Amino acid sequence: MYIGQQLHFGLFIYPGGHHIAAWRHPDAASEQVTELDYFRRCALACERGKFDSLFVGDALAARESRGRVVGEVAINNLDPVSVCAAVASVTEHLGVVATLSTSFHEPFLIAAKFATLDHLSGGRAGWNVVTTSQDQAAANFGREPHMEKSLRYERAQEFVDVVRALWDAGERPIAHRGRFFQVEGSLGLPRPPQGRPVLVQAGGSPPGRAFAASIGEAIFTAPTTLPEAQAFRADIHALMAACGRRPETVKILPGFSPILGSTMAEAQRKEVELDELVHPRVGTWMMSEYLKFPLYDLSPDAPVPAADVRAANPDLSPAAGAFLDRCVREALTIAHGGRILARSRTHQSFVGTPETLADHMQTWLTQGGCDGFNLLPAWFPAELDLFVDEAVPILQRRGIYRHDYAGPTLRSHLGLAVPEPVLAAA
Amino acid sequence: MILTASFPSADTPPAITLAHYRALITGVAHAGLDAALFVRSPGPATPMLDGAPLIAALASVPVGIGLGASVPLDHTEPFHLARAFAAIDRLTGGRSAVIVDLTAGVERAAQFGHVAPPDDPDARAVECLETTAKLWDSWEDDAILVDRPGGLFTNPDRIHRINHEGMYFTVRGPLNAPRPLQGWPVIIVPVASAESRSFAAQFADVALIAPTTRDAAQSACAAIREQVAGHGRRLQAIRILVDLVPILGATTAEAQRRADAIGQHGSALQFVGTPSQLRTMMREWDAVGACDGFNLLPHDPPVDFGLLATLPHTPDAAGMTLRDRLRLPRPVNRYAA
Repeated sequence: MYIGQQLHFGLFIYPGGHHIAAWRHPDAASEQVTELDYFRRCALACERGKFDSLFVGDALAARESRGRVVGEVAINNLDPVSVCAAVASVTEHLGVVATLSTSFHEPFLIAAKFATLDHLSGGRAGWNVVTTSQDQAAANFGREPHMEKSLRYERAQEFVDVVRALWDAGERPIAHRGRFFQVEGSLGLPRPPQGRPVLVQAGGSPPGRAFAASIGEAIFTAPTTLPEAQAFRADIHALMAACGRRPETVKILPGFSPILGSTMAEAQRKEVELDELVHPRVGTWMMSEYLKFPLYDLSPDAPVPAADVRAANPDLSPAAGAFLDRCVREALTIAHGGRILARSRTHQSFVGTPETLADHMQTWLTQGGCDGFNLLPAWFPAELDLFVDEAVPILQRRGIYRHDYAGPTLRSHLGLAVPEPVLAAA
Repeated sequence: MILTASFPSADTPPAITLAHYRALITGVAHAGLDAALFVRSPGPATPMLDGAPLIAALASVPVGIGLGASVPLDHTEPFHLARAFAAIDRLTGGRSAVIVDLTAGVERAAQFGHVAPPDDPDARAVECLETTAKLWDSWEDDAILVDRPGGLFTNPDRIHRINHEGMYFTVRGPLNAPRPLQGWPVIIVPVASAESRSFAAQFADVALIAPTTRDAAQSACAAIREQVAGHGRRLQAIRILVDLVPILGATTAEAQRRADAIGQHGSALQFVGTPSQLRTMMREWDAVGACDGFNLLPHDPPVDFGLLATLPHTPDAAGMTLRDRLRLPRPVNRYAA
């Protein structure tokens, strides 16, 4: 039997679905998105599909357009740690990864939250470490907008150092005096079952990549082509080497949004059906938010005013910059760009059959584009079930995906060792 | 009569498993109680098990009781608190309670990274809870539409910025989560000082008091009710529960043997006797209006709750919110037209 590289899957859960308008689809469980049973159904599908983890994103502000909540889109995820705790309680193997921002929290309570989650789940917790630049979020915490980006990562690095020290020390006190934080004391809890909950990162900018290479054990990314994915993975591996880390201590997981049909024609019909559910106002709002440029006064059929967007935003994120290039290259209208963003923001979307999907994933895996995927189903739970029940068995037959879990912890699913504690001299 | 059970974080077991906590709350439900409360123990070195994810993880246990968790109110951002309990209240089907912890940030200032605690932690806590409640109200109860043909998931006219600018917090809002099923989670305030009594009088749905005699309970209740009225609240808006350590036995002699072995711990009121003697005592307190119920602090939960379960009681009701169970009013939304 061929034993080579194996795919890893995480589920990125989202109320309604990852297609912005999919909540309108008759099969989407849109009425249930705040109920325990919604999360239970999705979590059980992940476990049936032997996924590593279920991942919950975060947002610290309502989605607004010109001072009003956008009514045409589903709500944000519920509080990630609460959802992860609930999911862990209805599963036995599945890892649970919660997003929390270092920009609007303090290390002590975060260390306590994830230690609690890791203990209660028997070693299945992960923390997606993010920094937040969104001005709307700052307004909910009485902060000045825009902590300068490199400073955000410096603070985040020290934040993670403090949290790791608190986990490592267990019931013993630490004394940390740094540039951003002074912390003396202990969690008063035993070291978490995984030693440290798994650290997940998704930085795309140069300081973000350096941070991911320094601390990330799983990295989410959003390339849309294989060469982009290969270049990103090679870059991360090189940056890791510079930090003294080996490449097998990370899993790189591009976002991937599948729309599956039993035939190509059926899958394409689904895609068209979803596109038609996108309200034009939503397309314009998504484009304005993503490009950080108000397009509301323009016709949806107008071309994307790329020059004006660039002039107003000299430091667009790399992903947004690449998307803007694409709008120019393909002469896209605002409405067309909006429909692309509606599918999965700028994550890779895939339309096809389970067989063609398996071919595609196998190529990316064997050509060094990824270690697996973070799945963004168009809607929940039906499209997730379709992937698990139709695509996973094909990947298993091809010998590139596990038939069962090898251990009980998220670290064991990811093939990561329990880190040695780094203990400061007491 | 209302009965709750408190589990202090000091009793966190060495092996922290969900199975342990599941068994604990199943015992509470079988004993006919109304809620299980996970309370932070005072002191700078007690285990920092976070009660919020704990009760979220217990949402799936098939019992109908309420679930409460301590929140360090003097060290919490309103947006985080509102967001976490908006989720927990939904996940538990409206069975959540916030237990107000007014001293964590003072006792643990060094851990939280404060060189010194806030100048006036109580004022900060008051503003924190007021702001949190505004955020819970920022979504009216009918804000979620899920109107597929009309293309509206939410009704923007029913979601409001709060524009709070206070001494300690500046929060624009709205929250990015729907209002808790109960409007607000049940607010529980342990009363241990003049400050916490004043806090309870303003905000508590449930106040926990620790008198050692029935007369002391009566006067403590009267003092709180007077302050409640002073804040313009209706007296029925608050439930006052007395902390009680039950040391039970199938016979009086057995209970006494347990009591001798345990000794007196702390200052809380103890009751030594059989389950039916306990019930008689509670009814006597109730008859003279000494309190609205009791908050039990068992030494050995499986033993004491196992014995309590032998008494006849109404079976644990499912599908009821904690406010319904405690017959507490649902908070009126300040933003509703």
